Amino acid sequence: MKRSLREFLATRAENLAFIHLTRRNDLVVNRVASPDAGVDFLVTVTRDGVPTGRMFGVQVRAREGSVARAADLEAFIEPVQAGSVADATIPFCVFVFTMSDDRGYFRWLKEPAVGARRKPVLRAASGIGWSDLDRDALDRIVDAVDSWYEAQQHPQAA
Amino acid sequence: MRTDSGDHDLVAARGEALFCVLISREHPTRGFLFDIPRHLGEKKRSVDYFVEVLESGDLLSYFFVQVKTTRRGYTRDGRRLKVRVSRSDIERLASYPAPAYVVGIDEVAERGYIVSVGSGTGGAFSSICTDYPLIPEILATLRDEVEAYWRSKDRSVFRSELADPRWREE
Repeated sequence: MKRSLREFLATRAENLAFIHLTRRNDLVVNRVASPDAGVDFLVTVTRDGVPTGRMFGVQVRAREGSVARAADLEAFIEPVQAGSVADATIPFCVFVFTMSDDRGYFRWLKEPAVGARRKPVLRAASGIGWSDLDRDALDRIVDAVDSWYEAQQHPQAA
Repeated sequence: MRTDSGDHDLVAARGEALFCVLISREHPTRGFLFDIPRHLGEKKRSVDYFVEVLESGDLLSYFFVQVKTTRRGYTRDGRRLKVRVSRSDIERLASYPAPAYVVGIDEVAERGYIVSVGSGTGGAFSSICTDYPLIPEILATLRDEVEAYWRSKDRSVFRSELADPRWREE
């Protein structure tokens, strides 16, 4: 039985997400089996091959066509809501892949940040726009995740 | 997707994901040509994937693929990807009553190349030609020849434009 177009595009996008995430060999990328879980991948950062427990979630979306630049996604897709991960206690981002050119874009849904006195903050990032998803962007995502967990483990004394 | 069982499994998992993405790319004028490949599951068989042509009317058109993923790169002249294909794999692939192909995936550069396997293909091979990259133009050729095979009244012979010239010589 043939897949629906929606399923076809979703599967392509998941494969593209996996390809992007595994460009770093220090990430363990686990696909979440339930499509209704609000998360498609749980990614764990490893150190010297050992999982650190530092995890972040990824939602994956596919869209037909292409866009000239990342900012154009705002008009191209329906608004992405952080509702499905509103109560998440780990960093979360969403990846979108445009199917005509297989380009990837990302934005945070729950953005990890380090506030005053090295306090780890998880921001509902509703007002933050899209960026190109490339190797540099992936590095920035992992660096932000790492810093956030680091601040949890080693907060500055009050 | 296998993910956390060491380098070898990671390379294989990336190769599978790359193959699925590259073979299902959108052609600029003809749209999507092939469905997402269906993995046939069993390890150590000659055929890894069943690939169905999309939007082929009342015709069920498909082909079989063995995927070989490598990090070893190319031959010195840069014209062949270093993947090994055994004689038994070739013989078994050629015995299927359907078009059959080998796809070599350069896991580092994230590129793939396809070559056909037919009754005239002989021997074992340590590399495949890079004349047929998995780009939309080649995918259109692939689709046309697979459809032509299934529309043919005589399916005893499969002729492909995507044959590796060295495989034919040996």
